[in-house]
Amino acid sequence: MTEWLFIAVACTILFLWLAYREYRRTNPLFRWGRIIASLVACASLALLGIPLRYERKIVEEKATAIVLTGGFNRDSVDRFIRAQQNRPPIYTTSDQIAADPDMGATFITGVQEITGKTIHVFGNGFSDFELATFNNTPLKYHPPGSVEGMRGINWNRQVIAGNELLVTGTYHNLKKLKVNVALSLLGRTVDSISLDPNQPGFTLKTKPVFTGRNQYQLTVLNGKDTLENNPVPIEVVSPKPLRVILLASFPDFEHKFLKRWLTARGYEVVAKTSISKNKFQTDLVNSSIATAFTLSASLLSKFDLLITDHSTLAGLNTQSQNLIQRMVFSDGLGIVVTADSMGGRGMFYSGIFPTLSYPNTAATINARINSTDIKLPSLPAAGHLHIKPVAGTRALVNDMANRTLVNSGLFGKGKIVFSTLANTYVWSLAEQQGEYNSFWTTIINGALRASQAGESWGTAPLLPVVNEPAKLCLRTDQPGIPTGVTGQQSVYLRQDPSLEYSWEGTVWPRTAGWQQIVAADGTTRWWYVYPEGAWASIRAADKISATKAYALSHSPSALARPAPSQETAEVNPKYFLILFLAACSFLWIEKKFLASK
Amino acid sequence: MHESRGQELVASFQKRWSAKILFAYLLLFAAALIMMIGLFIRFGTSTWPIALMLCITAVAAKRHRWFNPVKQDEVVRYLNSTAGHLQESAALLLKAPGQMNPLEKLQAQKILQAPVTVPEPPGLRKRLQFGAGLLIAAVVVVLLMLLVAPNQSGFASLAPLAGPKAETKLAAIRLARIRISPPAYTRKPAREQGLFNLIAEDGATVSWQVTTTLAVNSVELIFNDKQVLRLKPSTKDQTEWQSHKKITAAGFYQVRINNTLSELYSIELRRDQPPAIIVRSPKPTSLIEYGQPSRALVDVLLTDDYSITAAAIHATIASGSGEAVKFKEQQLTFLNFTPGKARYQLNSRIDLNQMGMQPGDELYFYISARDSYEQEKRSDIFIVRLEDTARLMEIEGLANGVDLKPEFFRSQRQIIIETEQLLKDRDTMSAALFAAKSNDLGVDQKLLRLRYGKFLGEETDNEIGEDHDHEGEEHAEEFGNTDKVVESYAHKHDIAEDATFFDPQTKKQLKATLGEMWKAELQLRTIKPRDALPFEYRALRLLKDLQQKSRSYVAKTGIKTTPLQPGKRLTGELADVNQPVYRGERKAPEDNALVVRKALGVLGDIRPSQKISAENLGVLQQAANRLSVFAANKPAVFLPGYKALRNVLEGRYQNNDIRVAGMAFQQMLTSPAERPHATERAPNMRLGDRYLMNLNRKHD
Repeated sequence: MTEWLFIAVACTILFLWLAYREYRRTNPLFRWGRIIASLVACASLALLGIPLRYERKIVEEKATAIVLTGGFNRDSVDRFIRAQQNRPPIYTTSDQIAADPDMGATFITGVQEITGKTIHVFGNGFSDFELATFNNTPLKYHPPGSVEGMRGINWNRQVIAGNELLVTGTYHNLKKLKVNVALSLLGRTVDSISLDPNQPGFTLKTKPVFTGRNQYQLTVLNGKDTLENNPVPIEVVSPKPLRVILLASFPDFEHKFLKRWLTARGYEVVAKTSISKNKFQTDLVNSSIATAFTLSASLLSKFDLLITDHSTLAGLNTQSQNLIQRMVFSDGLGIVVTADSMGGRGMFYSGIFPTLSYPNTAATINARINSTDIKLPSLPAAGHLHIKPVAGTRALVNDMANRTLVNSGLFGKGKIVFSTLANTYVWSLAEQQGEYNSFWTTIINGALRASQAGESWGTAPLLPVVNEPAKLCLRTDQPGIPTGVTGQQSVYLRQDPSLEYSWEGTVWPRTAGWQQIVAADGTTRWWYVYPEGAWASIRAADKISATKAYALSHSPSALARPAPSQETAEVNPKYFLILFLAACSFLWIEKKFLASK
Repeated sequence: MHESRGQELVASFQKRWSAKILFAYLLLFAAALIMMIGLFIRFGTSTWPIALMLCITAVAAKRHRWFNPVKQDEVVRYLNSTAGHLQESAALLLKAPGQMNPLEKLQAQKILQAPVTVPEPPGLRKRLQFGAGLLIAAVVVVLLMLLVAPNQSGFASLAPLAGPKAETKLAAIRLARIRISPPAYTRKPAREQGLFNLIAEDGATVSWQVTTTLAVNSVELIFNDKQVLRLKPSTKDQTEWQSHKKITAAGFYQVRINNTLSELYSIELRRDQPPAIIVRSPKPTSLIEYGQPSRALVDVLLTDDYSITAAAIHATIASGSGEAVKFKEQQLTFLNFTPGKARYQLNSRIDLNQMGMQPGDELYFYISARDSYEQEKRSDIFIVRLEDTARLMEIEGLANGVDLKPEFFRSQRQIIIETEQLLKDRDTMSAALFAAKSNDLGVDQKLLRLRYGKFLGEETDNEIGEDHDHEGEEHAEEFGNTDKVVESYAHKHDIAEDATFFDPQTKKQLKATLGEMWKAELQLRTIKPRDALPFEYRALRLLKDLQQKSRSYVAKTGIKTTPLQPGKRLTGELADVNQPVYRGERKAPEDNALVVRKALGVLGDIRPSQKISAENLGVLQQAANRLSVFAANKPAVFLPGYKALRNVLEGRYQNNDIRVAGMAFQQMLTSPAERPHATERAPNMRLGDRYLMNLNRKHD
């Protein structure tokens, strides 16, 4: 105390002397400024020696406990511990962290084991499954910063042979590295992309060459460093053969070539061609239906697709026309109709496919398939038509001037494809088989009715990992109680109370890789269990958001806090040092530069 | 005494400055030389640029007096202008003492008393600096060029003859000596190696000499899993075995000692390549126009992997037209060709006149080359045509068709005829008359050109020498018409309306025609009718083309057919006509690669720790059979995959074996063709049906 007094007196004397000197200064400029600066300098000099204290209110925290989970940040945990008065006990649910002597964490199976303490969770948190076992124990969550790495990913898990595998995702590139993403199968890269740090999204594609099951690898590289390497399992299945009925009002090359193309794929093809008045030629390939058939609801329901042309349909009797219309509307029969030179007037689909004639200036039609951007060989344009797009239709083939040549639309449960290209056989003749194939594949895909799966299986989470529980979800229209068998285990399923067709059950996969499900009806399905560490960043992000949501609904109650108490705090002397230096600097600068002017 | 001192003084300055200038020149020369040598080393160009540079340097040294650039009087002039104490009398320093008058002597003595100090001429230092700078720059550029260069020679960057890869031998083998003797025609020496993986020339004889550690019962080589070659013992103790085989196909083989099999070794084959022919000239089709020398220059580059034994030009002359075309074949040789080398640059000049070609005839030729393996390669066919001027002059083609501009064509033809007549009559007429006639023809040509110019909307002045007279008459009714006023003062050269008369293509050709006419006129006016002829012919040919182009096809309009009576159609008796029915089975063709596709799928399912199921094993076995065929044809690509797959089949494999086998499968496969397929809909319990039903109810 005497020491403080001594400092205060000395600084006051110093100030008085300085103020006197300043007052007597000959140069009147900045006189008062200098006096004030001297005062500040002396005062801060004094306060450097005399501690300045004040009272503040503090909230007494309940005793805390720390729970560490994978991906925690050591620094932020240390900072948290330092802010506490007493070193809180550290727990962990991870055996790896428990094994680390540096952290000194005690292993627990769940946070519900900690009682009477405010629980602070660090790291990526817990999965939904773990959180469900915590008996609603309140906790505070300290999520780590943004997680670097793959953030979203999706691909078609089942690919029909000949179709593309599309892998789309986003990569969170926090360090702004130059990153390449590559898709490879058994070490052979099939597609890759160099990612711009500001454009995290990417799409990779390839046509799988195998059938059956295999897994691609999605590798993220920075130069030669592998940042991530994750499996992309897919199943390639062969397309089912189709059943097609062809109706033609006269024999022509278009139908002849189409028939040949369809039968070359082993499809069931029934073709009826009018060759004279009430005389028909009937072709039955791979079919068992009777020779003298008539169009009926039971016959048409056996087929996936009806291919015909407008004049043939218009020439049918009203009864048959109504039958076809009904089958399309309520049974989902797909039809492909080729326009004749008059367009397609007077039929049930005419309203959605109005036709316009081609401008005279165009000599040829240069068409392209919209979905794949394959360019088709040119056809003569003379007397040709194009379709005016109407709301609710989807153009399949356009020309280069974006006129629609093939359009598709929904009609009830069925799909109709309306085409103005009637001479596509010339492509086949000109050995442009690839384009012919693409064209008709696109058209038929546009019209085919979707096949009704008896049951469908899914998993939750989407990327199930070995040694972690996974839910198997089944949707089925079969009556009775379904059971799945995966590997040696039986899966007992629970019906959803509100959705009668939805069932789910939990399995604990013991090995990574493909797992078989044998459903009650004997069909075999496959699902993939990811090895530990696969898609780590995505799973971390999932855990963070799950734990965040849990912490939000289970926060330690504010009412439980004790009344705030008083505490004495001290002002940090470094602020006075800054003040002192500033005042002295002013005095010096004034004398050196400003006063001389 | 001091007189000679004066001369010495001037001479010393002269010498010193000359030396510095010479040094500056030498610096420049060194910079250029370093640059040239750098280019030579880096790009391996020929040495002639260096020789050329040396010549230029020699000329420059002579012209710019490198060795004595400063003259005495220049020194004197410089001394006078810079050294004030010489009092403008430096010239006296050069004078012989006897030639000076007393006053001069006095002055000379006076100026020599003080030491002569003059600053160096300012240009000298700059020259030196410039030279040194250039030299440093050249050195830096050349160093950079050589450092950045990937290789010093263009060939080293090619992959070196891939040596056999690392391999493991059977433990029983102590030493293996394999001797590869390439066939004689390759003129390559035999070589020996200690490794079993082979790279052999097609037809090479390979002999194996295997020394075993212990006496063994048999040593065999098994080729492509089929063919067996037994080695014979060459010593009694049965530790040295040998045999040989001629290699004509790629593949793989194994060594079997007693009953132990080695790993698979590859045999890669270097097939003899047929010679490559690159024709640099002439162009695929060339037309020799009137007035051009009637010969074709052939410039060919022939290369082969070993040597070329024969090369020739096979020429066919087609003469005549219509049904009377005659062909004559001839074989020409290259004069500078001597067989036995691997690379040739050959030239030949085909003299068309000597071969008896007439205007209008065509020469077809191709070049053939044969290598030491008796493989022959032919180039594409090249066509050289001699222009038929007689045909051009024919009027037939013009008279038949739509004749748009007959008047003008005849004129151009007339000009040609008259020019030729003039040339014939040259000996019989006076020089003045010849000149006058040539000039007249030039005038005709100009008039013709102007007439054509009209089609292009160019300025027309039919009368020669007439000035533009744009003074219009005043019309009372036009008074106040601003367009008229502007028009009368404007100097309009082109007629805008005419400019749109033709399409751009025609216009372009017309313009080219006018260009030829212009050149012909130039030659005629300068009394060189012989030189004018080619241009006249070219103009005529272009015009003829134009006239052919202007023919267009117009379809008949208004076809009248008898109207159909629908009631009468298809009324025939059809009761007895059968309705054809075709019933058949057609299966989709088997995908040959399906078993490989399946096997690739199986590879995704298996793991080294697990046993492979019998079904999967069967699929892999079938795929292995197919892969062995690929491995035999292309061992370099597929043999590692085949080896890996065999490891998998034998049940002792690593993850890497799956990877390598998978790579080989992927290389065998192409993507399957797209096929139509239905999308699968989830079983969602008639929910969609209910939606549809209710939606439609709303509409009602």
